Amino acid sequence: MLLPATDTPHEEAFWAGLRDGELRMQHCPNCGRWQFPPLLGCGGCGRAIVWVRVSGRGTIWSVTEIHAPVLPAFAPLVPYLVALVELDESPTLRMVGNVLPAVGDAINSLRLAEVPIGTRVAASIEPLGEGVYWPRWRLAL
Amino acid sequence: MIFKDSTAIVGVGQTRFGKGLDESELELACAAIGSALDDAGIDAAEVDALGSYTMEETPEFEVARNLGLGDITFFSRVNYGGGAGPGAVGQVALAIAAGIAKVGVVWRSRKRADPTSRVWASTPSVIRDHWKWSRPSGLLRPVDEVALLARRYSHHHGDCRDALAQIALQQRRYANANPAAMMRERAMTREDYFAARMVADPLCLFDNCLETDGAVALVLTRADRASDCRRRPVLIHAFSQGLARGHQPMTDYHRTDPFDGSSGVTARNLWRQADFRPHELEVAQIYDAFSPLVLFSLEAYGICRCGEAADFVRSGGLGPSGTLPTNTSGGGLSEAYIHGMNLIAEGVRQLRGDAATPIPGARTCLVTGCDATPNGALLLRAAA
Repeated sequence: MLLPATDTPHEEAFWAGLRDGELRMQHCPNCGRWQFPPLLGCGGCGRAIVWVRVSGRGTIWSVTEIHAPVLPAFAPLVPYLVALVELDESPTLRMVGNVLPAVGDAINSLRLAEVPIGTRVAASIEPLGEGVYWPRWRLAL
Repeated sequence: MIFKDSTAIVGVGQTRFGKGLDESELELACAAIGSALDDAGIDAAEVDALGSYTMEETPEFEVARNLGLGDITFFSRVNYGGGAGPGAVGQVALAIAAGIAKVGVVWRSRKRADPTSRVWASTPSVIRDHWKWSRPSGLLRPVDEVALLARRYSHHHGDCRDALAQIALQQRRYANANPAAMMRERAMTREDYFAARMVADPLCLFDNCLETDGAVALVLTRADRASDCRRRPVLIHAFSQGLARGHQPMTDYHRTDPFDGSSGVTARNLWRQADFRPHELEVAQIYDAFSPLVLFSLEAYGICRCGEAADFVRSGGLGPSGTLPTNTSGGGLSEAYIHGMNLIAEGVRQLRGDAATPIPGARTCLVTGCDATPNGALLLRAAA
């Protein structure tokens, strides 16, 4: 299992949001920019940002099917899909994640042909391990 | 402009390229540098500047004392893996052009043929750097990161797998003619390419660079000194590095258009300096850890318009009689993967006429660093 470090102060609202089942993103009230990953300030104008809950709905921007060799934690799962999802709020809000048919399914449940670019998806915030949560993406109706 | 054409690459050296070489990285580095100094006809004691990659594991002081180099007055390292090569050369050239140093050596030595030495294989279980945003989802290797961009590129511009195959096949043909290439005796057919195992769809085994043990070194000096050297000098006409606003290395997914990235920054500043235009290039060495980087770079550096690189490749544009013969030693895919330093060496050989597949009349060459990272590029020109 690979985990992201979550003890970074300027990311606290993001990780705490996920623990509470919410996807929150940084937004700049000055220039209107949305940004991910979290930064210390606005990457566009340098001003202070605010955290805003987003819809958790988006579109598959790209997707790949991963084959061996991979790290031991993922070896039993090959081939599996990893997608880049663009959130509805902004093209600058893209997140890497796994696509699943339904909540709780394994990350290798779908084949590439089932998830073309442009597929609509919705976030399902699920545990990665050790109290860290991350959105997985289920196919949206 | 004080920089343009004021410095030259006057020597290239390399070890053999292979898997499981007996020599240490330090021995390989010193062998390549010694060979480059011999090639230039410059004494080791004259070297006063050193440049390399931050990922290079042989330190300056060991290289300097093991080779009997002189007092060193300038040393620099450039970050970002395969993006670093042109920057490492360019920074030493800047020091020479500015009068800080007189004779520079740039080198890269690595033993990567052992699978356990792959950088991604040492990912920590808790990730602190920017790979925390992608690797926990199983996007583990550089090839995976490039695959997402390749698939998106195909979505916009049509399936590019046959163009990727053409890149791999053309570079293999160049390698088959290159006695130094790891793949000199291994032919590849179109059937071989499409039968290869998938690694990160749409990228298969042959879209990936080789893993190589070996070293490459270059010797630089002032252009007015270069005419006394043993070899015909190759001028450094222009140089730039590039780190696009908002760029994230390898996973540059979070800007509005990931295809207008750090290569575009490098390219604009490079062409701003140059006395010739992209269509006037006679040869190119384009960083090719993964074949799609060639497509992306052809567009970013203005050789093709947006979306036209695949057609350019399919029409034979990269071949020896094509519009722009590219990666003429076989490149990272089929000669050796020395983090792009072998591409720079090949650019030099083309312009002085001693390449394995010489491109007739080649006077100008573009050499690029990795499209997917902060990077750099050089424009080289044959001395008059």
